[in-house]
Amino acid sequence: MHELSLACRVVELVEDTLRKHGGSSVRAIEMAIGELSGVDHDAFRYSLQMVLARSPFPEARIEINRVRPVALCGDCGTDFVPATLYTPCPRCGSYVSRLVSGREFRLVSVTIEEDK
Amino acid sequence: MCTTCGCDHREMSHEEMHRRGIAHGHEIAVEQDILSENNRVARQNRTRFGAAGCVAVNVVSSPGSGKTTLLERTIERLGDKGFRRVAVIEGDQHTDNDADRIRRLGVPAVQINTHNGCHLDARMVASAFDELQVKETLLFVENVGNLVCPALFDLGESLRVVLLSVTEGDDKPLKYPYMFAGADICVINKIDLLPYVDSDLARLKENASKINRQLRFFELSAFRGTGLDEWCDYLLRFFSGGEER
Repeated sequence: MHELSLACRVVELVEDTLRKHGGSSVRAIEMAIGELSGVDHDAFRYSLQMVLARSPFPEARIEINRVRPVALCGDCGTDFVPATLYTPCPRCGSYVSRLVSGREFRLVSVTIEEDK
Repeated sequence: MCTTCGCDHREMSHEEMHRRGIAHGHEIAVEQDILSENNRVARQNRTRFGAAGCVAVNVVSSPGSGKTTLLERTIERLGDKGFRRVAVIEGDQHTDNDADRIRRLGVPAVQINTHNGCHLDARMVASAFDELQVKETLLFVENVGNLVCPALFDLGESLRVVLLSVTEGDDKPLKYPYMFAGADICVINKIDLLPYVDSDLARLKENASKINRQLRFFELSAFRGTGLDEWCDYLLRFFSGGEER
């Protein structure tokens, strides 16, 4: 369950953002998580809900954008959507490929509440 | 919903709410990688290890693959070869048992207890390194026995070694690919048990190579001592900078 420690880090970053921009509370937290990031989406959402419940902004909405993985075959140059870290190229069968997206784990934005 | 901030004031523009002093939201673009703080400390560790002439090796595996036994036998064999500048950072949820085993060999060891944590992070390793106060040393970091979580956390190591015992099955790399994707070396342990288990060494390596083509393999039995020489010679070459990872 590394998702819990990651959720704690997200809430720290959200608190930093709130402090820096001087808002009163947080309305929404937007994340981008790649499907091959090694972070379980459901476990992460659950962990984040738990951490948020004990934070100064328990009502914050969680938005998670799933990022579809894209790999580029190192042998024939085909780009494809790999299901795993070891999905062979569907065109030439090669295992030599580079993941160009799908490993993201990013805090995209924080929507903060302002009084005026 | 307001497209600027996602608030519920449909009938009014964002600027209008500002003008009228109505409470509303502001979307702040952050675009920050959640692991960036750990990665920053890991980079710091790498610089500090380098400045102190230390080379760090992060050893990861499932619980029970033989990490501590491998370290014990490696320390002894390196000693036989005249190399004694070794230190160990031990990570476990609870107990000092592993650090005690290492200290019995006369090697400095610091135990990190992660309690509820499932992995070591760069900050924990930084404080353990402070405590050790070593120079010109081959520094082993034995991670928490877990083939999932430690994969995401760079500790500042120069070499990441995934240890796998033949009793775990030759499809283990496919079941836990992240760990194999991020490793430099795969040590296959307990090869003395091959006649008694259903694992096929060639298939195990083929599976791991599907995930990571650069992975380098060592086959050994830490318990029997088989294959330890090749492994220790490699470590010595790597420590002296004579070997690429």
